[in-house]
Amino acid sequence: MEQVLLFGLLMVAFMAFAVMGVPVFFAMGLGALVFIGFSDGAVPLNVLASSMVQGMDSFAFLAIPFFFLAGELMNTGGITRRLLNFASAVVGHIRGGLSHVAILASMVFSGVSGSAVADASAIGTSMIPAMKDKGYPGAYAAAVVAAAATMGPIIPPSIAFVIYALVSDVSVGQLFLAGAIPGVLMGVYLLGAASWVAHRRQLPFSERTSMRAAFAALVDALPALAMPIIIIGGIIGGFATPTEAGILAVMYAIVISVFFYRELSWSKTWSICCECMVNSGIILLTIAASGIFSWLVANMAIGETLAATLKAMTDNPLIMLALINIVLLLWGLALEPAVALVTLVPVLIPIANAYGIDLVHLGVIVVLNLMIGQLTPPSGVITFLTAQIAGAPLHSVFREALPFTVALIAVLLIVTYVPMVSMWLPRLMGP
Amino acid sequence: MKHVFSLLDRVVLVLLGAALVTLVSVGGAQIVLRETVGTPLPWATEFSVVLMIWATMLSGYVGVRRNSHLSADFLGLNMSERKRRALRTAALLLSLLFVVVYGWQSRIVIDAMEGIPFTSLPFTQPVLYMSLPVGALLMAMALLERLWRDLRPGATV
Repeated sequence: MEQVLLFGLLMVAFMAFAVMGVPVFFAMGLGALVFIGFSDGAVPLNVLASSMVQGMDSFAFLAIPFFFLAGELMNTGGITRRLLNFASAVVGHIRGGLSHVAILASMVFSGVSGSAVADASAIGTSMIPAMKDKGYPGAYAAAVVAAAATMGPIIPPSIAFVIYALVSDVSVGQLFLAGAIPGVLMGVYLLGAASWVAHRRQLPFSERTSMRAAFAALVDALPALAMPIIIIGGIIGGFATPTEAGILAVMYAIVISVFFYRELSWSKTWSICCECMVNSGIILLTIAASGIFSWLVANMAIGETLAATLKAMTDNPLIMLALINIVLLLWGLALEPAVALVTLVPVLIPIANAYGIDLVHLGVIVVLNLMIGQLTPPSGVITFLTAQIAGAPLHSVFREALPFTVALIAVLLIVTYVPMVSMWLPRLMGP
Repeated sequence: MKHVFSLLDRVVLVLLGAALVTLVSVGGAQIVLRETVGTPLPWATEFSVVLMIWATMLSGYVGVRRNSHLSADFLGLNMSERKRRALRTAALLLSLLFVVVYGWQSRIVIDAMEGIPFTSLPFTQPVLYMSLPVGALLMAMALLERLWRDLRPGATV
């Protein structure tokens, strides 16, 4: 029990430092420093340094910069515009058509990028001004794009799944497969919510696109649509690990953006490489700091002690799943997903094991919860971004996002209590 | 000092870009060689991990320079300019404390790793662990520079 109290102290110290503005990487280290100070010499101080390198000493971490780079290359190389044209040809004629276009394009773009922020930025910069021009309220346009971007880390590839897999020692390939159906379900529910809002508020719609134009848009978008097939096919086919699938995605993105569409110059490609390494390096550094957390959690058997305490309170895995969801939603409200993942997952794993909850199933639940947190205050990063693009007040965007948040919570409940939704595909085709 | 940091920024950014290009090239070559000739590069995985860890530690410096490290600072949102400045100075000092402690402690880790070889690389583990003090030193420099800038009279938060 003493370990659990010490761990509580670590978490409180970490949150206190983070809330006062210390960047998360440093706040995690300072929290660990407080923990070590109170551990009466049980933990040597040099663990701070050694666990940082050991925490990221894995080839699988490379998937993060690779998927970042692939997404950015595809976005800058003209893919987003083509996906939007294709989505517009398919669903643009429905009432509130542009909101459906944003959701459908996000769904497809999710199969390319793996990051919600990348999705929101790629789709938002094109879609939000277009929606405003057609008479949609700016706050609503921002809310639709933000909600749609939450599919990014659920539909494979997914940077959040890579981080979860590394922290929990679960197969990345299995997680990618597990996210596919819940991701599509999110898309369907979001389309439903958009449709409800569109009819209630009589939002505009476009003219139906001719079959010939729709076919032309499909052909133009085909190289982009092939990306998820390459990634998932490579992993399932067994000729690439998830990290190598990231490399294939980068090479493919370069080939179609530089040589096929000819919209990306070599100098632009170079500057994208520099920026992607910086951005993914900052995430990797946070994961490196979480190595200290993982070391402490593992060596002080904190997760096991917590699991035993909870087990004494309830034996029912359904109640435990509800509790996990509540904790994750609250944790996701306060923290950026990568940080929430590396701080909470090491503790959740022993609890899930004690209750017989499949770790792949748990992975989908965890990431879905954290994505809902990104749509709501106070830490809704995606909403901040789209509100900024729309030039709309943040509180209006949060209010407009409510129907979509409700739709996503409904998907969360389905994914939580019907494990087949996420587990069917990994069991059928698992690598 | 401004010129020194500006040069350092450019050098680190180029190193990071080059690291990512190298990682993609080595990984791509690894897949092609394994699938076509059947002889993968034995050093590729270890080399990539070492390079990634070095790049990660260097990107910490860029994060401090650009103030782009992940953060959750809601406390200062509704504070007066004076209080926000005090909070920010405290945050910078605390960050500096952590960087100095782990940078200093990495010395012990490097000593402990002395002579331990990699499986397939022609150097020993301290080459990997040297990324810790180098990253810490660069971040400490960047944090000190920001503190100096913030504490000057007339500086705004």
